Amino acid sequence: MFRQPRSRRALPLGLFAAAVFALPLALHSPYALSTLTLIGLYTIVTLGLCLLMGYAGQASLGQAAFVGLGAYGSAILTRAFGLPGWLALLCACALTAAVAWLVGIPVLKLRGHYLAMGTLALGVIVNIGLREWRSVTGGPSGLAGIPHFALGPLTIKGDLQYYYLVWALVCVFLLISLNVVDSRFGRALRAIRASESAAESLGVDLGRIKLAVFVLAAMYASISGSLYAHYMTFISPGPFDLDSSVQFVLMAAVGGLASIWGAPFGTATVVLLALAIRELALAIVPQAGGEYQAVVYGVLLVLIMIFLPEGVTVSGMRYVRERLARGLWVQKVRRGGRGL
Amino acid sequence: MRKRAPLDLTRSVITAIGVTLLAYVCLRAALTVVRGSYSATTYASQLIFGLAQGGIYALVALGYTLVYGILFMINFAHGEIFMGGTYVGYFVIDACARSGLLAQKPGLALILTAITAMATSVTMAVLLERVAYRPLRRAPRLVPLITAIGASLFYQYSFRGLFGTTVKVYPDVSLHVGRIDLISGRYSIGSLTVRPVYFVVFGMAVVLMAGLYILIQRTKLGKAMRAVAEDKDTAALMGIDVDKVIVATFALGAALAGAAGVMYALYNKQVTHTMGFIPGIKAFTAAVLGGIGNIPGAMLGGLVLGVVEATFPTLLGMDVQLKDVLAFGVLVLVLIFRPTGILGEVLSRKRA
Repeated sequence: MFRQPRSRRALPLGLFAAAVFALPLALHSPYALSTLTLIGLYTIVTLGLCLLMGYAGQASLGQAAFVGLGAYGSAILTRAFGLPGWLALLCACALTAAVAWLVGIPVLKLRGHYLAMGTLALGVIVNIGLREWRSVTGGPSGLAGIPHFALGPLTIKGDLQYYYLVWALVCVFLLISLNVVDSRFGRALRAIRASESAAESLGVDLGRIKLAVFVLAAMYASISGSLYAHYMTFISPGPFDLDSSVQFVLMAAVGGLASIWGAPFGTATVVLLALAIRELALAIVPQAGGEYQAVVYGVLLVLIMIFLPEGVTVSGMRYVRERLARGLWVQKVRRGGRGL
Repeated sequence: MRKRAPLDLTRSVITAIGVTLLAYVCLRAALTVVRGSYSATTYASQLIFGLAQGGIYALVALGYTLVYGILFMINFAHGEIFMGGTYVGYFVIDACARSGLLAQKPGLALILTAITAMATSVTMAVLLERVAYRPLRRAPRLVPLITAIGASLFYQYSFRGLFGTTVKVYPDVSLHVGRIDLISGRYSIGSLTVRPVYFVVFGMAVVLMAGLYILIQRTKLGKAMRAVAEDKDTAALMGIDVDKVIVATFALGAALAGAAGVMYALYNKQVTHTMGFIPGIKAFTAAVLGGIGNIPGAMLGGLVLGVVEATFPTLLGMDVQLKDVLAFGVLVLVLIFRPTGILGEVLSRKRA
C-alpha cells in the first residue's frame, strides 16, 4: 500500500541524476556553478529537516547549529590534526550525531512550540559558543585556510569538481531519504506526526524513533557543513546562526515539508529567488542591502503557510498530475504528503 | 502509566544532568560569596539593575502569556513588536529633543513618546493577528509558528530597509523631581552608585502590571478574556465576540511591550532593528519560567530572570559575554525539567 514499486522510484531519481550531470555542460560561468553547489549543500540539510519536521512533525529551529558543528569539526580536524577530508567528515559527523543524541534525549520530550523554542535556544547557544570560544573556533573572525576535500589520493578542487561531489551526495541522500520514508521507520514517523498517543498505543517507541530521526537530520546537516567548510576553505559563525536555521525551515516549507522531492526544488527556489530579489532591488535602489531579501522571505513564508501549506512543489505537482489525470482518464491520483 | 526501561533510562539521565548542574551552580555561587571577592555593594547594584531589567522582561513576557492563554500559540514575532514601538518612539523623542520640548517639559515629551510607541506596537500586533494568525486558527500548531517566523523576519527587515542599520541613540532625558534627576542622574550613597532610573523603570513596570491585573480581574473585557481563555466555543455561545477579544488581547500585550520598549531605551539608549530578538526570547523564557498562560507567573518569571541574569555571571565567575547563554540555558532547562513553570502547574498540564 505505502511502498512504491522500485521502478517508480528509480525513474525520477535517474532522470534527476541525469539532469544534474548534464547541467554543468550547459553552464559555463563559475558563478552559476558555485550557486548550484551551494543549493546542493543546502538541499542536504533541507532533506534532513523534511524528515524531521515534515514526516515526524518535530520542529527544529536550530538546524544551522548542526551544520556549524560539522563545518567546525571538519575544519579543526583537518587543520589542527591533519586528518584527510573524508575521515574528518566522518569524525565530525559522528561527533555531531553524538551531540544530537545527548541533546535530543531531554529536548525531544518537548512538543510543538516548546520544542521549537528549545531547539532555537540550543542553536543560539551553539552559535554563541562558536563566537566566544576563541582559542578553538577563532571567534567571530572564524577559521581560514581549510584544505580542500581529500578523498583518498583524490583532492577535490575547483567549482566543477565540488559541484559533482555535492550533487552526487544529494542523489545518495535523496535515495536514502526516499527509502527511509517508505520503510517501517518512515511509517512510524508519519504515525507520530498524525498522533503521538495513537502511534504509541500501536507500539511505536516514540522516544527512540524521534531521537533516531533527530540524529539522522543532524548527521545530514553535519555532512553538509563539512563539505561547506572544505568548499569555502573559510568559515565564520555567521552562516550558522538563527537566520540560517530559519532559512532552512523556509526552504523545506517552500518545497513542501512532507515531501522528499520538494527539498531540492524548495531549496533551489529560495536561493534563486533571493538572488533575483537582490538583482531587482539593486536595479531599483542602487544601495540596497540584504534587507529586501529577508522582507520578501518573511512575506513568502506567511503566504505559503496560509495558501499552500503543503508547499509549492507538492501543490504544483498535484495540479499538474490532476490535469494529466483528467486528460488521460486515469482515476487514481496519488496524494503526496499532507503538509504539516 | 506503565513505565518502560528506555523511558526510565532517559529520565534518570536527565535527572542526573539536572542534579549535577544544580550542584555545580550552588557550589560555585557559595564559593564566590564565601571568598568575598565582591563586596555587598556590587551585589546590591546588580540586584537593582536586575529588578529593572526584570520588570521589562515581565512586561514583554505578559504579551506572550496573554496570547498563549487564549490561543495556545507562541507569538514568535512579539520581540519585533517590542522593537517597533521602541524604534518609532525614538523618532518622537528625537523630534522633541530637537524642538526643545524635551528640555522644557520632559514629562510631556516622555508621555508623547510612550503613547506613540504603544500605538505603533498595537498597530503592528493587530495587523499581525489579522494577516498571519487569524486565517490559521484551525491549522496544525506548527503552521502559525512558521508564519510567525515569517512575520518576524518581515518586521525586522522592514525596519532595517526603512531606517537603515545605523544604531539610533535615545537622547539624554533629565526629569527633575526636587533635586533628584530621575532619568539620567547618578548618585553615590556610601560606596554604592545608584541610578534612580532603575527604580523608576521598576516602579512603572509594577504599576503597569497592577493595572493589567485589575483590567483582567475587574473589567468586563477582562472577564471576557478569561472566558475565552477557558473555552472559546462556550464563550461565543454566551455572546462574547471571540475575534474582538483576541484582537484586544494582542493589543493589550503589544501596548505593554511598547511601553516596556521606551522604558528599556531610557537606560539602554541604543535602538536597532535587531534589538527585539534577544529580549523577546528572554521574555519568552520569563513567561515559561513563571508558567506560560499564567499572568502572575509571567511577572514573577520576568523578575527572577532579570535578577538571575544580573547576579549570576559574577556569582559563577562567568564571562559577561556569556550572559545570553545563561538566559537561553535557563530556557532549555526550565522547558525540560519544569515545563509547567513555577506557578503554572494546573494550566499547563491541561493545555501544553
